[in-house]
Amino acid sequence: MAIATPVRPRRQTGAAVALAGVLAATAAVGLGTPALLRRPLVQLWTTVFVAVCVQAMPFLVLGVTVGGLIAALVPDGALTRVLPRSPVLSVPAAALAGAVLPGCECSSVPVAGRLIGRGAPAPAALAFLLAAPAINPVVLVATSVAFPGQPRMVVARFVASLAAAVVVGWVWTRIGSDALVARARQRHEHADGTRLARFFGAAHHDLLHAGGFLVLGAALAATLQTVVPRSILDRVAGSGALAVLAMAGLAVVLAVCSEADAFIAASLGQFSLTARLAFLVVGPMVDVKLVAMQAGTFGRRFALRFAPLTLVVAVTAAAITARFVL
Amino acid sequence: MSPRSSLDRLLAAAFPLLLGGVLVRLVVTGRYRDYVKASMWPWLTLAGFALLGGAAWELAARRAAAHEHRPAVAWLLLLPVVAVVGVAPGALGSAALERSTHSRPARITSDGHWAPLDAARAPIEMTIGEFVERTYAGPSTTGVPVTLVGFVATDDEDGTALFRVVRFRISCCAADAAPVAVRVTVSDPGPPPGFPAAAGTIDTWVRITGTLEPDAPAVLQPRFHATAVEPIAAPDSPYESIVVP
Repeated sequence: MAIATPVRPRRQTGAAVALAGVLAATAAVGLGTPALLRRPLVQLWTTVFVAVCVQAMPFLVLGVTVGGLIAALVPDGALTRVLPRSPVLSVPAAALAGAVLPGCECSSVPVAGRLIGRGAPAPAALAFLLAAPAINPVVLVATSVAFPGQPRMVVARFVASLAAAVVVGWVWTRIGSDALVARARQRHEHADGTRLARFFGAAHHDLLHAGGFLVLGAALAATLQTVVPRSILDRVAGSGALAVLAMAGLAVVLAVCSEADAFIAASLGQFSLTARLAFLVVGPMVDVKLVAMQAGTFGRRFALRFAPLTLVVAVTAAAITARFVL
Repeated sequence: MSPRSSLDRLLAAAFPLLLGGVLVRLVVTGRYRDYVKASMWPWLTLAGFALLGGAAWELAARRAAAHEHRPAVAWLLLLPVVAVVGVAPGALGSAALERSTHSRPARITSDGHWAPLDAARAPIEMTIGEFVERTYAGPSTTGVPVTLVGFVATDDEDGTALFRVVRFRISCCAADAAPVAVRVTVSDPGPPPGFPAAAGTIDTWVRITGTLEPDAPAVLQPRFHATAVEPIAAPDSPYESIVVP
């Protein structure tokens, strides 16, 4: 953001009053929890919602910290110099670089936003965004633990995720315009203030943006988990292509961390390995929490194009990889 | 860069302060184990203090960086704070059983066999997850008295069991929980005194001792012949880990 948006004093006062009101109401509710909030369904929703938020918070903090470091330390033009000029090479290079961020998808969104903010080409940054939560060592080890004696599942996950990230990056060089990521690009900070101020400024900004949308996504995931009975799944488990789509859909609505999804896939033994691979490839790339965060970081118009494209490519990559590897 | 009023600073600090405060509080009280796995505490503590550090910076910074505009969506960050402090939801219990499918025994040891149990040390304490997986994989639990800990839920099958004893297993957080359960039966005539009736004691925590019912088929919810049922306080960690040691 080039120029700080001036905040009128009256709005700040209003915000302070609102904040105080929310806190007072919370305290009052906490003292005498009303019957409505003790209902099993409300409690269940809240447990799942709080669980997703608490689980994601360390990863979000890691993501906004790395993002802040990028904003504070990476000099102008450095990223374009490091990456190969041609997207044919820069996209796979960036996707492979995702292997070094040992987090889940909550970390990679703010980091990719800051990479674009520091001038990285969008297709490369987006390939990084998609690959990082799926191919880093922590997630691959979790996958091998969840599928003991089936190392092919780990290989298939790595290959299909990397392929999907690279293909989406390449397709984006053709169909994506810089206007779609303008929100992240504009965040290009002027080199004013100390490095420390730039670090905290960027981290704070990303926490409010990505964090707010993370909470929105967590609420959505909790709602879907609470109201959609999983027995629906058993009905489609045996039906080939439909089962693959069902598992991809489940990955979108469950929105679990990429470090946990392998255990869920392993426990859904009624589905074919191909369907479960689709779950593992789609989950870290497209889910309700992630799409909300992408919309917050890059804009709604971006998310409307990027999420469906990624979903189609990820399912296709999983289906093709399963044929050859599993 | 514009100077910031103390109200600016306070408001900017409020969001990381509340989030970090809630994380640290969850760790200190141990309540975080109702939501995520017990081994998460170092990361939650680290994230909590990082957020508190960010809040301290916001309180101290006298000049505005370029982030002073607060997006409306940031207010949603207060929702988990409100949920933890105001609603304070407990760990998943029997109400969550209806919406979940059973965890298929998916984990077996690397060579596909469980080590035999040392019957001399019976009753052997084990997790419900391990009991179910051992039973599913072969006869390693047959005839060996074991002790299991879980909460009481109604029998959801043909009603020939008195009740179920259930535990949720998680790999990361309560959102990925899947139940493991045994169906508790007793010998005729009827349950011994002190046995909880299923109705009215739903969600009570119990320690049960007994054996796998002879000739019980390898099913997701094995029938467990109990000789003792003892109500206990809820364990510190309400969930079992999906990774069997």
